[in-house]
Amino acid sequence: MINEELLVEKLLLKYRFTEPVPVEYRNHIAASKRNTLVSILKKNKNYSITLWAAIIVYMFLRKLGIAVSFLQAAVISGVTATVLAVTVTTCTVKIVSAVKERIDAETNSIVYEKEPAEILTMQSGGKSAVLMKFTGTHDAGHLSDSATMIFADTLKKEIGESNLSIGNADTDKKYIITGSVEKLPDGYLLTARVVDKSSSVIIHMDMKEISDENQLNAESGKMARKLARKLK
Amino acid sequence: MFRINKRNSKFIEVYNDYYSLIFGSVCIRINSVDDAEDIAQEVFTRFFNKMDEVENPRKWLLGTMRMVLFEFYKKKRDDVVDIDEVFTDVSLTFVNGMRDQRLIIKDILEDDSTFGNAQNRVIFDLVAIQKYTMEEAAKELGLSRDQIKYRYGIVNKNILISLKKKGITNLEELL
Repeated sequence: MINEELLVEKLLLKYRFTEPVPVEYRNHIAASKRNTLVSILKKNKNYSITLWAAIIVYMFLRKLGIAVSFLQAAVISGVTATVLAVTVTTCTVKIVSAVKERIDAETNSIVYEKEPAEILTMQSGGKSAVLMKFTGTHDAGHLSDSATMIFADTLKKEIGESNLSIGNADTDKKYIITGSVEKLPDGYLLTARVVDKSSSVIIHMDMKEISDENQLNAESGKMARKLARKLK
Repeated sequence: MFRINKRNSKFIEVYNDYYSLIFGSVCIRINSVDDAEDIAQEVFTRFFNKMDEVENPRKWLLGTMRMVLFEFYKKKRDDVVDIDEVFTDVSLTFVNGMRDQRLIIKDILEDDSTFGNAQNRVIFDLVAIQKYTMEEAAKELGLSRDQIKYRYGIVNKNILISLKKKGITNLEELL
């Protein structure tokens, strides 16, 4: 085979059929091939972006030694472009969705932060109160404690056990109830106040002179019920 | 919308196969790459407009190349170059028996049956006539080197067979 090739080459050379193209020309020819094609197609108003893509694919595959027709290359470039477009669109949609979800999550988290405040407001609304331990003069003895207990029992019945705290002012209750039992020369003075916690204003105050412990128990109950009705 | 039609497809495939051949042929005749590029572009532009009527692209392109080259010299170089010299028939430089032998070889090279198909002919033109390496020809035509080598071998074999058919059994006589 090689001998045959050499013989033919010698024949062509001797009878001057050869037209050797210098290497630098060959390099230029290879480099200008695509640009010249584009120029021709543009000149003939036959150039489009789809054709451009198909030409690139066609020449790329041919250079790799893959024998494809131009129509096959056009189909490949079309499919590639479609896949690329779908991929880009999908990625964009996913990114937008992810961003949207994140924004929604942030919005929701703000709502969650607000909810406890609303609950707090709700809890502090209505008939809710803190009953502070009644104070009393030294000679009033245990009567202040008795009055506190009677108030506590009565208020629990009137406004509900969950709406009443005892002894701790740092709660979310709306009102603070304070009171005292003071020794008078011939009896005792029972006093009770309802203070609005948010404004520190006394919204109701009641006092009653009592003669002994039995009357204190009775009057404490009455006063507590009256006071409960004043709570809004 | 899509301009990728059969016409474009045909043109681009012909262009891909023959661009190097035409450009190279022009280059060695005028020794100017820039002018050769313009001429090759003009040849293929004309082919684009006429390709529906063309049966043999190689012959048509080489013929049009000669015509465009004549126009080129007439337009730009008629004062410095004798146009006739550009396309001097090489066979005229041979005398007596050698001229006859050359004509025999020329007949064989112009016979399409020697090559089998158009692409084998382009391979032969690039490798044997224009002295492209097989790797370069493979790149230009979108084939592997082995495919080029195989097809080139077949063409050479066919040429030798044709020479024998023409009565030339001893090649040493030609050389």
